[in-house]
Amino acid sequence: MSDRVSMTVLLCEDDPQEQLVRSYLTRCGQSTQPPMFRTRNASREVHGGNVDRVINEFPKELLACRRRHSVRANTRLIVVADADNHSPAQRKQHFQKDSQGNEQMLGGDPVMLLIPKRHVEAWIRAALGTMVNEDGDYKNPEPTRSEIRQAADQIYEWARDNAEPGPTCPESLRAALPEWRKIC
Amino acid sequence: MRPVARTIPGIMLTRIYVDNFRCLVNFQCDLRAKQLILGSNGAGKSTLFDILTLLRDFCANGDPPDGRFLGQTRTRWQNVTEQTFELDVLGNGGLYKMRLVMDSVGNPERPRVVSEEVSFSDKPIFRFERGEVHLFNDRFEDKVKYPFDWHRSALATITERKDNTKLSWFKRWLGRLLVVSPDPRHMSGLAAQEVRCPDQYLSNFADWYRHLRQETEDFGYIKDLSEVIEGFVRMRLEDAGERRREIKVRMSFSENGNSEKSDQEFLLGELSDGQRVLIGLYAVLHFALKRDATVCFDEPDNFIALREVQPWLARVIDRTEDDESPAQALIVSHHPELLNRMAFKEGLLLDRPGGRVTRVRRFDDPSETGLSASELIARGWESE
Repeated sequence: MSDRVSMTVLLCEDDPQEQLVRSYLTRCGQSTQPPMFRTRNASREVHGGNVDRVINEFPKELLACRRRHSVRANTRLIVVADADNHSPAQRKQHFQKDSQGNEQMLGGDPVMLLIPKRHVEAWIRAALGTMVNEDGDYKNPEPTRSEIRQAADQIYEWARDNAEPGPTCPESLRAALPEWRKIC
Repeated sequence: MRPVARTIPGIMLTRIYVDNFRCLVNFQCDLRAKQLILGSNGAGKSTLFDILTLLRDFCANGDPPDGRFLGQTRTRWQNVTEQTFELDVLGNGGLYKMRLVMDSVGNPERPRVVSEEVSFSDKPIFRFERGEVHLFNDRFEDKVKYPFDWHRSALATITERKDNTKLSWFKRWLGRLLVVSPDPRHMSGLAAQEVRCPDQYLSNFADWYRHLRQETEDFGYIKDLSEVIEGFVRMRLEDAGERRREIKVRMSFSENGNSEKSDQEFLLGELSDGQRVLIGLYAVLHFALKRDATVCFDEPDNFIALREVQPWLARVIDRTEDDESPAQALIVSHHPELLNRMAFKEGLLLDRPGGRVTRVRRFDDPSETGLSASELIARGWESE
């Protein structure tokens, strides 16, 4: 099986998360069109409780990607979920362990977990040069498409090998840069 | 006394074989009583239904072959002169096999029947070959032969007699084969005549409904429509002069949002696209999807709302599973509701690797991902 990724599945909460990942993939020179890319955006599937939807759908998507990855073609799963009032490490546990507390992710699973501390808008503002407080609310004003594209370009620069993230890069984004790097 | 279990075999088109027609080359698919036909655009789904329409029109209705066989319908990348079509139909206590081979002759070229044959349980009941017709009686004896114009279907000209009941049964089945793809923009509410069958787009819906009202009651049909179309009360035909009749639909409305209702009549053309399609689809369900009938629905879900798909589909499936009078429904659809309901059990997947010939296989989840059928298709994971 080739190392080339034949499909990326994005499981995320809302539009800003989806747009940021799509812009990042585009910056990496990867397709965000079918059949190379498929989005599961929780805000389009349920009304409210987006992060719960992502957490609940994760095991099914993980299994689907794992099975297809092992027998057919390189398939990877990108998950974006805000930590909200948890720490990013606690949120990560929600994906790494199932409801019984058993490990559900294996070492070789083709999964990238992107977990902003409060919400992804803080990452976008930070990448645009604003010094952010990760507990603060940056949802208003909503970032524009071009701002999200610029933010994705900046995250791409910060995530490159041997790159030094800028002074505005917040801790949760800094911790997630290896995951961003795996995407490219 | 215990009831005796009865098994009434359904009448079904069980197999289609096509060679050298558009993207179908040496193509064969086996069909069940209810079948969802899936595939991406250009895979050959509608072509399959076009062939059934073509065979019905040519071999049962006697339509001319010009422009419908050979010519541009030949598979482009082949240099084969003959087109071959075969149907297997289970019914009347046996298995019918029909085979039609066409080529062309003359300048300019005209389609010609090379051979047209029908057998019943592997015994011949009709043969038209090299311009000569052989008629067999119900005891399979070759009784009559005569020359015939090879630019037409000889089967289409056979009339019902006491000694050819087997052939007549097959011809009736073929003549009733229905392909439906409702298009509300073409559904006329004006009936200038009566017709026994609707056309593919239900453009002659009023003519058909006029015929139905002469033949049958429509209580169940009207009841269903009143349940699926908000405000629908009834439908009737009104004299429109010059022997024409016009469909009028009575709808009721709340007055200023309160509980009092008032009725008003509308022409069919004044209803919404979705309402017209529902009227058409439920008519097909009630009056065409009956015992011994095969009905092909080509994207029936176009124009209708999501919540309206499930009840209609449930009724269609009920008809195909009816113990007493099962019908056959072949459905082409991209709708998630239909895909998730039928794909894994009744899905036939058509695809054209490299844009060449169409292949067919049962739909499944090759990587066992556990995803829904619609999600598999959205990701393209069903074709690997």
